[in-house]
Amino acid sequence: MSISPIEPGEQLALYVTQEQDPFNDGQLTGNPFVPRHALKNDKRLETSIIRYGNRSSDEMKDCGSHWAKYVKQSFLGVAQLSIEAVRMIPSLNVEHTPRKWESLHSDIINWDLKEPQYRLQAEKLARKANFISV
Amino acid sequence: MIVLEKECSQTYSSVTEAEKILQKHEESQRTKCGHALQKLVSIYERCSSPGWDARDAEAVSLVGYRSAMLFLLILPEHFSCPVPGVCANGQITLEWRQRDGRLLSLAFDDQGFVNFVVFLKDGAELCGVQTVFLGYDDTITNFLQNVSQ
Repeated sequence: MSISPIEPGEQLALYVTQEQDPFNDGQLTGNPFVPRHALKNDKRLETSIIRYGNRSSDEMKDCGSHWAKYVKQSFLGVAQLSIEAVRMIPSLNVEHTPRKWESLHSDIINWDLKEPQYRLQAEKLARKANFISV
Repeated sequence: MIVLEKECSQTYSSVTEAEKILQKHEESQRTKCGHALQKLVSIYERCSSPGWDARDAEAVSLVGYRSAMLFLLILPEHFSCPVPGVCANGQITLEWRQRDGRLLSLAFDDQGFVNFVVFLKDGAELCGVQTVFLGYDDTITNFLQNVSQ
């Protein structure tokens, strides 16, 4: 898996866990886009996203299923996003520095927004995603 | 002061007094929102330690948990039950989602604040912060009327 900077047209993925939203079958739910708040820097809110690279959707689903079992959560599927959609969100950027996690290379979304603006943007981002159910 | 409903003119001078009123309301809410209440308890039990996502998630605080529980228990009866959730930053959420895209998402933090995000039918997107102390004030009740029904 390449650790090069993200290129135009690249596809990104987030794994979607938690329970199905009874009001929206197929719609993203849970907390795939909810950033975590670094205590030592109150402006930094981040979440991990995973680069598709040259993996197939089936491979991404297998990885997600493995991860969900590891964290003991139910696995709903993969949310797929283009880097262009991510970069259309104001005050949000994807770092070019990848980090390795569970044999996957994750990237980090930087959120220069505080609550609750970041959740509003996260919801808009979620609605742009193409959800692939398991 | 805790205001139970928008239309309710009676207010309560203390949490203790309000809790007595809540006890009466609680029984019907347990029946109506039993699944949501169970899920809220489950979230707190599962996520009250840091790293509950096997990464670096923050723990759900007792303050946030109690705030979410309070909102669930005093939910006006004519509104549908929300779906509880948890964020990696430790906030507990209550969400009302509709198929047409309407959304009200409340997130309770460890400082006694509730953050709200709203997507209305006309495409309006709103967000804000207020103290949990106010409970369902006019702002949130109006959003509920637009999203929950």
